[in-house]
Amino acid sequence: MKGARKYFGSLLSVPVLAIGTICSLGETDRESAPATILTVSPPDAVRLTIMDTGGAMLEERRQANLPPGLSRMVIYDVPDSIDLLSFQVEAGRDPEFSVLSQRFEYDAASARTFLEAVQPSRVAVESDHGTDTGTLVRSLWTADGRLDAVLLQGDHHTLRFLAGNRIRAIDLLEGLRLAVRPRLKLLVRSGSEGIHHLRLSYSAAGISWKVFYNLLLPAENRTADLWCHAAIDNRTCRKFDDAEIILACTESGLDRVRRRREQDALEPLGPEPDLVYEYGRPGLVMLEDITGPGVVEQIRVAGRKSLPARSSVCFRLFRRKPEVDLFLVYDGVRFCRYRSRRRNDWNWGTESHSRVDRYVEFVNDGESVLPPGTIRVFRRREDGSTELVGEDLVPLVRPRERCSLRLGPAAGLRGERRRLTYTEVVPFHVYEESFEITLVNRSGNDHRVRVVEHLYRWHDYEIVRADTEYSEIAPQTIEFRPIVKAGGRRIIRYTVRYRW
Amino acid sequence: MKRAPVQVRITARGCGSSVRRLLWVLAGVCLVSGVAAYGHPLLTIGRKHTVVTETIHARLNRGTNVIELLLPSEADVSSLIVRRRRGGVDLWDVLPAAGPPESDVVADIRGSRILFRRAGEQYGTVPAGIAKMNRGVRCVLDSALAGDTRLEVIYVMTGLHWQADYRITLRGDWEKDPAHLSADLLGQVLVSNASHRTFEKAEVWITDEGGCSPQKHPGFLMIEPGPLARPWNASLHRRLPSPGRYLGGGLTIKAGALQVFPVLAARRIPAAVLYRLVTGPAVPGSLGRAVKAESFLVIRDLARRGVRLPLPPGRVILCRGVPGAPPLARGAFQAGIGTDEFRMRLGDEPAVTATKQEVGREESEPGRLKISCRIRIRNNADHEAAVEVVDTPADTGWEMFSYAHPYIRDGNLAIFELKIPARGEKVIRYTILTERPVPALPRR
Repeated sequence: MKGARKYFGSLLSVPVLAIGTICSLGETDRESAPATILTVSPPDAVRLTIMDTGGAMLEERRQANLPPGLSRMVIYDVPDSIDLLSFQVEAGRDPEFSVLSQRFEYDAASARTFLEAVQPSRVAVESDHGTDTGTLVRSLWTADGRLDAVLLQGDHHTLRFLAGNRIRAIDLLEGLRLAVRPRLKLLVRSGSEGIHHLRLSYSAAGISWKVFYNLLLPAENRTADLWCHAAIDNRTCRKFDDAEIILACTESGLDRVRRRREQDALEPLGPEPDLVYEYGRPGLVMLEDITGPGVVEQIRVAGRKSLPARSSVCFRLFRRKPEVDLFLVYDGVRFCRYRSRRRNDWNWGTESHSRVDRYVEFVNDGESVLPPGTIRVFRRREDGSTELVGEDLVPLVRPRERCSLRLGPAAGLRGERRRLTYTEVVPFHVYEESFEITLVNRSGNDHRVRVVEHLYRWHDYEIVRADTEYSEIAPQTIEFRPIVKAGGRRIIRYTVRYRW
Repeated sequence: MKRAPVQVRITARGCGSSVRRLLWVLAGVCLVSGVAAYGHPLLTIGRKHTVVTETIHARLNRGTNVIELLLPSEADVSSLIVRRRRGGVDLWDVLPAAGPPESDVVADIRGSRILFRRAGEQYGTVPAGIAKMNRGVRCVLDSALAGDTRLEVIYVMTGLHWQADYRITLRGDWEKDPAHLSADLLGQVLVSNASHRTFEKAEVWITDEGGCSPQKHPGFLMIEPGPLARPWNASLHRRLPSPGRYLGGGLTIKAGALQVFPVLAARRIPAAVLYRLVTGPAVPGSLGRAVKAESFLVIRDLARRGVRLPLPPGRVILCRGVPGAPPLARGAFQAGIGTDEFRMRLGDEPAVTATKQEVGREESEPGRLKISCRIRIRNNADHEAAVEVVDTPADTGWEMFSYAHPYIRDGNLAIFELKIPARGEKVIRYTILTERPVPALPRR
């Protein structure tokens, strides 16, 4: 019986609610807003989702004791860089709660907002020519934000134009009620009386994060120390206490990191534009045009943290002790931009460079991803001093993935790649090419060098001769791992046969 | 989880001389519950960054601790590492220390001043000098042990630079008898400290970390020959870092000062002038064009003469052994990595010339050519000349078929060394095998 009543009651309530909504919409104009302003409580829980492209999404829980109907509310402790268009409020158990209008006030944000808030009012302007008293009518600003001039109306309706670069100080002679704290004024309608639990969400600029890694290599074994800290920069005037902080990696932010890594790599032509198919769009599009602000990964900062206003803090994300591999790579081929890329071009891939690069590699053996950031690799010497080995960018590394970092050229090592022969065995069908790679070690230690060779002409290939053992590490890529003795040189020769 | 900050007491140790240390300890006993001091700093000064390693002694509580460090304002806080060598201490957050310090003891990492607070008293204001010159940071540490602990503080800072300068004084007449010279070598490293921190009793390493940071590709070189010969190749090799060099221990690197540290002092080392001739591939049918030589001062076997290697790269001034005489030449010394040869360009020498000519060409098999060349080297000077001919036999791959003079192959180059008597001449002849003498024209 009770259930049937509830069922019929809900059926009846639908038209009643609809009529009520229509009436309330009609009444909005007639109904006058109350003069008293209710202050919303400070936030009791804050969650910041900070994007890697800058800006943050804030979620807060606050309370307000509201009467039924229209009421005015003021919310303090909002950041001065709030995006009003993104502002949303929900009241948990009051479905009729709605925001009718909203206004953000902060007169002390800059000198410009301050002067615009006080005009017209009586001021005393102290300049190089003395002190002038009058009513500030208008302030004029240059395009780069400097005070250009102020227009002052004297007691006898005289107007005085004062150049901005002559002005030393402006004193207010009237008591004005200015919004020196950022505040958000709302006109809301609530359907019930009592304490409302409000859930606020909005975005704000001026909050950003960067991740820094410090990797300390030991002198003896392979176990290194890896610290990961997130530096959070809060340029807003709001201080966040006991906030839950989430660092968001967006699609466009990760694309930016990928591009920076490609620029730093040995790419003679720079990164090539990636063309991809996009569902719903005809033809190929540039990848950077379709990467959006969608969040790909979220990293939660452990515990609740406080962010002081207008300052940076470093929070530790994690510390690990990964097993690191330090190795040297000689990948000597270089392509000249003036050469064509015909597979039977006699000249293709005959240039080389001489850098032997140092790499460090480790596996992300944790449960969380490694966010993109800058890594500094230090090495401890035996006397206890520390040396900066190199810097690189860490991409987004998911659990159990391998992170490979290039640390720059190795001291005392040099490589050389030379084409020995190029033979047309069967013209346009079978070709053979021989190379000689020379490694010179002028350092004081023996080194094992990974020599990477790219068989770039065609995928149907065969190594017909090689004087050193090799392995295929990727499609059309082979790797030799010779040891080069201190003060010596090592030569590798191989011949590859292509068929097409 | 909200962390309750626990104050840290830092004990005195390693703050200079024993008398000074005793004073610090007495001050600690009389006035405060603890005194902070730091051990001798270890510096690795690079081209762009300096890595500072310091030791502090702290009395930690088990659990969460907050220590407050005053780092130099040039320090990069994101690089800060605070650790215990044997583990058990874990750095968590690094927070700015705004306003009066909150912990019991504020250690000025410059080692010159220590602030303290007695029980129940508050700080007045932080002295203006320290507030300006240092960056206060609060480090939240988790400690698994309680008691006196030695912690390592590692950070990267800017403001310190070094530069090496060498002076070579030649003995003998290098124009009349260039083969029998001797030279006095003097080298010094100039360390400039533009930071606000004085490092006392520091152990200093210098490194040439030019290659540490990710760098873009040096550019497009159509042909990259071997590493020794071509001048444009120098830009590529300049990027290679040299291994670190230990400058010394117990050094005081004063704030805002330039200091000089000697690194090389050697007398009467045999030297010689070498004439280098660079010849390219011969043009078929041409009579050849005379190439004039460049002269170099070469000092070899440095390690055998007692010079500690590697030498940091720097500027070189070459002088005569006559007081008041103007310098003969100025140049840059790039550290030969692990090599013990010192080479400096003196200038052009038109008296020594070379002419290269192709004297024969035959197609031994389809696509393979046999090319014979002749290099005629003439010395018009009145003294014997040691000559190095750096020759490119062909633009592309080549194999030596026959030769009349020994050579060293370096990449695509053939390097001949010979001595030409005064007013005399010598001829180098060789035959190479090559695939195609003229490479395909580049396509645009």
